[in-house]
Amino acid sequence: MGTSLAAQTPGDRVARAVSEQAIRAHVEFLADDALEGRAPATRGGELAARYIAAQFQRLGLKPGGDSGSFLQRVPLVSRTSTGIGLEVSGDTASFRPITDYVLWSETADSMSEVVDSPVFVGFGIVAPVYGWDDYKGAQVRGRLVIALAGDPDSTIFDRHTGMPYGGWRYKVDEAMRHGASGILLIHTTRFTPFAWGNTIGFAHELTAIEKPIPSVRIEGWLSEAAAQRIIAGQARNLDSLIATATHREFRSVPLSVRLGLRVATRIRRWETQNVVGLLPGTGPLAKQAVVIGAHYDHLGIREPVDGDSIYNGAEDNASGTACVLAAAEAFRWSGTTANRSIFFVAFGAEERGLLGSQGFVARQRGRTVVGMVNMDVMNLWGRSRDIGTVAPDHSTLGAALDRAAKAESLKVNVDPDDVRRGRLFRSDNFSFMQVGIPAIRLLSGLDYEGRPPEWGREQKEAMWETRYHTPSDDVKLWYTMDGTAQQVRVLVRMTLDIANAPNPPRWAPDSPFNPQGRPGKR
Amino acid sequence: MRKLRGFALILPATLLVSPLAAQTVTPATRLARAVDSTVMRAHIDFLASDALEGRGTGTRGGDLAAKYIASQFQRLGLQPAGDSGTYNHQVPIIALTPDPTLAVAGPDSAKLAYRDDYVLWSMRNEPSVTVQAPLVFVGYGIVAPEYLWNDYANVDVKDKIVVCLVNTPGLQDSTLFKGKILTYYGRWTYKIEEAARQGAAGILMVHTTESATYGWSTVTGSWTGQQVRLETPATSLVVAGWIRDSSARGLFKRAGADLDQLMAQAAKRGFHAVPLNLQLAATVNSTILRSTAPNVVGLIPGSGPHAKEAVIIGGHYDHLGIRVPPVNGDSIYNGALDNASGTAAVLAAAEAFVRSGVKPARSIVFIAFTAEESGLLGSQAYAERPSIPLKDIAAVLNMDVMNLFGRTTDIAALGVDQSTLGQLFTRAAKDEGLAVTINQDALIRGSFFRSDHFSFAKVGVPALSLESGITFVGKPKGWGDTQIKEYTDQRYHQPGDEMLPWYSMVGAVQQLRVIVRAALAASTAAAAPTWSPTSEFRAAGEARVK
Repeated sequence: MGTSLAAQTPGDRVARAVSEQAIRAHVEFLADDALEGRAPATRGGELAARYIAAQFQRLGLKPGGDSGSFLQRVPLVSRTSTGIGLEVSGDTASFRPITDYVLWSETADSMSEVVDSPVFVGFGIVAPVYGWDDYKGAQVRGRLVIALAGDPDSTIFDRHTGMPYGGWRYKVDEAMRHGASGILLIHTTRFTPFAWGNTIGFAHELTAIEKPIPSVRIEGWLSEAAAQRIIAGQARNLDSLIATATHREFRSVPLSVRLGLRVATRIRRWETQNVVGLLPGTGPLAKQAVVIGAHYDHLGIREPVDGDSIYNGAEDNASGTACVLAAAEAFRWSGTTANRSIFFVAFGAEERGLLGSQGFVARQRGRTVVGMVNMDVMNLWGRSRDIGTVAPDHSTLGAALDRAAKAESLKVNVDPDDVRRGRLFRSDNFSFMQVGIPAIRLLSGLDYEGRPPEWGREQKEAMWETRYHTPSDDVKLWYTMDGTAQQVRVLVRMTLDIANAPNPPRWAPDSPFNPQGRPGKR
Repeated sequence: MRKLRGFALILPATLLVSPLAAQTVTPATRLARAVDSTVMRAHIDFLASDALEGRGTGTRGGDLAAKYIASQFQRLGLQPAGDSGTYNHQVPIIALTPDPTLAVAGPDSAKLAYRDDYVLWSMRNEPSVTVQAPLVFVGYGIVAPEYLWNDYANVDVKDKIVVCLVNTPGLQDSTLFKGKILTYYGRWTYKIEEAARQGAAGILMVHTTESATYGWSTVTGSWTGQQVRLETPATSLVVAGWIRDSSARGLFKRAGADLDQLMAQAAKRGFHAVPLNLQLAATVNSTILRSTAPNVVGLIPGSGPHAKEAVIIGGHYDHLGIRVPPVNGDSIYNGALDNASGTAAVLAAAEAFVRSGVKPARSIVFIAFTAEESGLLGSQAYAERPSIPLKDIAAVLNMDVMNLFGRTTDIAALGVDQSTLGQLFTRAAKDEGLAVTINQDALIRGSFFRSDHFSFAKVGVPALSLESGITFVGKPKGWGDTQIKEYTDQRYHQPGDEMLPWYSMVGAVQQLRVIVRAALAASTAAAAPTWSPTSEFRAAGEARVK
């Protein structure tokens, strides 16, 4: 008996304190109809935030929000384009809004600009890890850039696992790093992974966290046909430009054309809240912190489906929120602390574009966040023999996950389907990765105890194809929390491991998120 | 135990100083030490936040509070002890708004004026009831064997309308009953219950300001609007009401009787009921609304021969909800003290049992009651349809308004004088270094009858309700009374009953440590607590365990 006790590690103790019934209690409360789908800035969302704060408070965590509370305000700006216009010198035919182009501005409520000689910057990508730089030698400060949407070669950029270099937000940020005054993205059937019709969404409400005035004042999409017309008078046509842009040797091309751009925008300022609790570290590394995070928001009350209008979000993401609470509870009741501090964070407005987590990383003061573990859509289906993740080889967090999973006798499984569906960058871990903080997302496994081999895959299909983002994502009678508890045990073990390690987590040298590979970032 | 000692080996050296010292920590002390102020404050902050909308019975806020409490019970691993495997014990509630008429029947008929002369309501859950019957004056309407008192001796009131006084003969003669100290026999609720037991068809209570301790305006204010009560089976009573003393005087005169003379006689030993030569005709039309609201019930099982028996730790979670018009722009009645504090204490008590690992002998049942503010309805419903048989409920410890004012050197409870449970409480207080103060004023006001423990006392379960001490550490004498008065005058049952920045959990922790000790003592005692010989609940208590 003495030996087995001596062999018990702090990780064993904290894992043993994970309570299945606590997980169930939290999931059932948060996914109850009374919480009305937990949409940001609704009473259901605020109730959820209060509930989480009360649990953090009960557990004796230190308030990590604003002015001594657990709630951290995240100011948001929503803008809707109410009128847009585009004129091109030498082209008397009109350009039709929505059909030919979409414009928006994230900075002003009304603007009209005339720009001379915009610069074609190929795909607008700067990726030293891949030996790629579309801005080399370009003079774009204060000028409008025109870039192709998407990336030139998925075998290089591997948009499935890595940074979504093809995404519009990345291109806007990159243009901003080069001091451009605006950016227009060319939609092509060859490189853009969605149809032109989807760009209409950019004319509807777009929400972002409130941030310092960016240099980019105007953003937009051009249809392939519109781009061809704009480039018509140049020495080379669009197809020729695209051909050069797909090579590393590409150099930017100034276009001798004058554009008249006009945008009227309705701007709405509002806010959401993160809930932040802190378990202070106990060593010299206490200024550094590991984040255990999950978003608590969901879609609220919407159009009824089969008579049900409440989007309960039981799997997405009452489950992850419950994991964060259960992890905090396990640390508290096992009396476990670590060398580094641990932030327990429930993020708001994830469903609106990872906004709560962006607000959190933008506001880190005092403590340096060295790593983040994200819980988004967890396993409510039963005990499994494996645990899922995506891109574990991007940083040393993958190895920490391996060790924790092994201690729980679980295999780590990367499901290509999760990779394909962009699970890496479609949740809050991505907000941390974007600013250079190693982060990892835990997912459900595929191999379930007492189930046939294909059962896990079927459940996953049913979840993502049928229940995901519908009112039927509610607590089912057959859900069990034993699988969730396995995941939380892995979570607390790896968190403790990371928080006690002599060195903070590191990016792999070849990871596109490695800040060394990203000029303009820390 | 072996496991525990083994565990100690890997604990920090500070805990290993003396194994002997460790052994002297009793389970009761471990349990008391597990009471956590942080837990209590977190629950109060949540339950009293505006998001809970004042926790009105049958409202969204009330339902949210019930869900929260159930969720906490579930988290702690308490067994569901409500209806059909859930934590919820559903309470059927009926709300009636009466529209009555009352007249003297016969050739010489005369109508009485609603509100000016009388108030009257239906005792049946029906939209319209009528009764015509002769009157019988039954004095104080009391049957109290322990005081050798029976106002219903040698009179048949079956299908008649009884007219009675409220309070007890002790009001006029200090040697009778407990003098001015209000026993349950003096409460209006008792008068109605007794009239029903006697088979009467109606009851009219004669109002005087002295006997009721409140004026006629309180009567019209309380009984002319919507009345909320349990949906219970019908008794013989068809109608019940109050009649103003001046109006009763006139009515008696018509029957050739003298009310003042009869009132004086009623306070004398040997009084006999007096049939009056007068018939009244009453009709009450009522608009009816029905709903349910849950008590939330969780259980930590006992072990050993008494495991089937239970000790209840309870407090009501409901408050007054949202009301208009707003007071100073605030329409949410947060009820932080009344009774988010007591509810939080119930939750913190459950947490202390779970965290300390102390195993009770009798089971501990944690109940958050609904609809207390509507007249102890949740607890009454539980006592009428308990999930633990009534005979197996050993004791009830109720918490209604905790002390958030600060540390005290004393503590109090309503009912310490009523049963041997009071002795367990006093012992527990002593173990926490607190003296037990008796609040004489509360005895005269009849506070014992005004919270949920009373619903259990009435059916014979020894019960007490926690109160604050009055001597606050580091404060001048009388400071506590001033705080309580200020609370009563300015915040009680008002939107201002919120969490104030200066409130502290120190006093509430002192109180809850005593409660969990008393609960454990009641749980492990060889024999369950019993009523004291002088208690008006002794008879019910003995009947209960037969």
